[in-house]
Amino acid sequence: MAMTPHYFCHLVLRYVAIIGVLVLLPFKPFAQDNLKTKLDSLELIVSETKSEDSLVQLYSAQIILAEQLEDFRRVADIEYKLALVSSFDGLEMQTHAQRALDIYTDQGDTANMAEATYRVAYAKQLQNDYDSTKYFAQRLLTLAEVAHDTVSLIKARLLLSSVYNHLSLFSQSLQELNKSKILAESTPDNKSVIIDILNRESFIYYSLSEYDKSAERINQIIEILKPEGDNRRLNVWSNNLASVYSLCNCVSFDRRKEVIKQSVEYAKRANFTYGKAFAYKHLADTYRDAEQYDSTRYYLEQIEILLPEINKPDFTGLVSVAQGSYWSNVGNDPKALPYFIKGYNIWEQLGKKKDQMDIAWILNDVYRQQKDYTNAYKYLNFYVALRDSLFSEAKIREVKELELSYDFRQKQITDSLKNEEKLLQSRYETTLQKRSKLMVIIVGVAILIVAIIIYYGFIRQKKLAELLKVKSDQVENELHQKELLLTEIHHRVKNNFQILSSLLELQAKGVDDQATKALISEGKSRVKSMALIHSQLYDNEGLTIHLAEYLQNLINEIQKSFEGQTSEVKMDIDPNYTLDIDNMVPMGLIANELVTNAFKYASQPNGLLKIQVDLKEENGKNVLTFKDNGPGLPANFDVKTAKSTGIWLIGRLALQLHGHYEYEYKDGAIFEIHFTQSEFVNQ
Amino acid sequence: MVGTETLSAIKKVLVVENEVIIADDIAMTVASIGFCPLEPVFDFNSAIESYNTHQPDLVIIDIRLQGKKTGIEFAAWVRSRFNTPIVYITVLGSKLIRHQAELTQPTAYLVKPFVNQELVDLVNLILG
Repeated sequence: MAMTPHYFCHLVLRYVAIIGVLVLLPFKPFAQDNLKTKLDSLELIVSETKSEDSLVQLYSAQIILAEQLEDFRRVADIEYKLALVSSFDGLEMQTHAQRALDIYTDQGDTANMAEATYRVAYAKQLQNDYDSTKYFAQRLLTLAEVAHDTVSLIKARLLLSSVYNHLSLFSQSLQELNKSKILAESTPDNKSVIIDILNRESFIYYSLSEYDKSAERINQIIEILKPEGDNRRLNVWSNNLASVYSLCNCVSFDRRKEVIKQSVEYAKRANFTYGKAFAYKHLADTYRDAEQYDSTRYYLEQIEILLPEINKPDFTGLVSVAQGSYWSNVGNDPKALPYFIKGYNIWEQLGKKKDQMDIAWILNDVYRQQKDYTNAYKYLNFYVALRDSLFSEAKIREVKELELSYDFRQKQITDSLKNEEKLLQSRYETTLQKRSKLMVIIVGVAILIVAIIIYYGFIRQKKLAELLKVKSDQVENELHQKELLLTEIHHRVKNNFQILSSLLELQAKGVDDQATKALISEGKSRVKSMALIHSQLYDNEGLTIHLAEYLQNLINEIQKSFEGQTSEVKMDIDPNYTLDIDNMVPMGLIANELVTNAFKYASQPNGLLKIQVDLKEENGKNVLTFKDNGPGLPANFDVKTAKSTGIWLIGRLALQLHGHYEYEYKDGAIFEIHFTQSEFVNQ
Repeated sequence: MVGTETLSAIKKVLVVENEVIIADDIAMTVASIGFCPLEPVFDFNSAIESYNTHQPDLVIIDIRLQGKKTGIEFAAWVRSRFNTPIVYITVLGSKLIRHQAELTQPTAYLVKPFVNQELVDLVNLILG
């Protein structure tokens, strides 16, 4: 800061005075006249001095001199003056004023007592010691009443009003103001006092949010000021009125505009740029409230033009915030941000923490809406830091609530920041994962479909299996029935063969003729050979018969009917060789004829019958050879004429087997049966 | 069976039967009442050959023959060319077989086991 000539002058004077006092002090004993001279000369310096610091030193020096002179009245006066210049420090003011009061009280100087009492009370008020203020104000009231000192009376009541105001006893405060006003009205030259009172009333009503009453008081002030023609003050009060109107919502926009335009007029007349800008500011606010944003913008721009001339940082801050609010209001946050930041920086420079805090909150809000969480977080932190430095313990509860809100908001922002980070991170991952996710889904769906198909297949299979089970049970049941039936039929067939055999036997019983008996026996033998086939068929459980096994059984059976005849049978037949049932019947009958003949004719008394049976293949035909050691056929035997004989039968049956028989005699009878197995007919 | 072919005035009977004993029995019975039985045949092909050669007046057919083809098939062959009466020898077979047999418009059925008199009455009725 550059030293102004004015300041330099004060500095010189101060040092001259101090040096003077110090030089003169040692000469105290010499003469009181000298002291008085010095005191008066200091008085002269005081009248030239405006610096409070210098005044305090000068007055202090004066007091020392006055005390040496034992001029207590003067001490009191100077102390009182010291009290007046100590306005910045309530404690010092109190000390001086109290001393002055003590002296005046001793001297019974009622008028000055009142002045000093007021000063003490005022000092107490400065120290926020309202009980003491009230005490001294009431003492002043008593003094003033006694002295009929209306001015002091008003002062006392205004003090009391102030105290009540501080103690939030608004109705009492207003009462005191009202009494003051009544008093003031009866005094001459009362305009400034009444304005002061109206101002206070306006302020109290303003605090009580009774804006209409507040506005009424301001209107009264303006009415008082109008005749004075003090355009500057008129502008200020008009602006104040506009301020209250903006809050009270109790008058029309037109009325508000009218007041402000009048204010602009006053400002122009007073050539008061700052006041004009302020009025513009109110106009902008009014248009904003009326939602006429173009006009709002116009007046804000007008103010911007005036700002360099005004050069008041606090107002620039105010306008910046208004601009910010405007842009935010019209939904252009990016444009609002620089204004809010400008406002924030100005409040920071000016140390207006409350306003700074408010803007920090707004900035946090705007940044959050812009999704710029880093900055939002920054301003939220600023907000908290400011709040912490601002709020007193008395507001702890409020703070707690704010803390909750803060915690919530901080969490929100932190979460949002995290989310944003995650979002960026996950965006990359998402693109990578999307395909694999899709694949997983496709595979999942495919698996599901396959599973469903398998499941339905399984269900179908199960149903089919159940159906098959039922069917197979049915089949099994039917098969069982058939088996029973087959067994029964086999039994009946065998039984019928037996009945046939028995019938023949019974027929033979009543006959004496040997030839007939022989024929019946022959018949029985043929039936037996067929029954044997059937029996073997039943044991075999097929439709084929093992030839070797059959022949062996047949020979054994025939042997039984020729008791006492020993025989030796040689057989050369593959035991696995089979004939089907159609061929087995004629073959069985053939074998029966040949074997029976062998036993009948080949056997010698006490001789051994030798039978040899062979099976071989010859030119694609099977040849079954029967050989015995008998005499063979009689020489005169003619096959063609011997129709009913066994040999004729052999011929016919061989024909059925698509073959024929050959006979020769060579050390016994040799019969060769040439045959072909005809195809089995399954009809 | 000797010399039967020469007796052109005598009505000829063809027996188609896979069991030679039964065939011979039928043939002898037919002969005993004055008709001329042809040499019995056991299968489809032999039956057609015999039919074409001798042009019989009656065909006695066992439904079951040797080989793959049945008596019904031979009867159908006959019926598609001639009005020769047909007598089936059969066991009581299935409905399907009876139905197929019925399509060849047989004159009668001889159900096994039959006695010779039944056969005699039947043949006399048809050829008499």
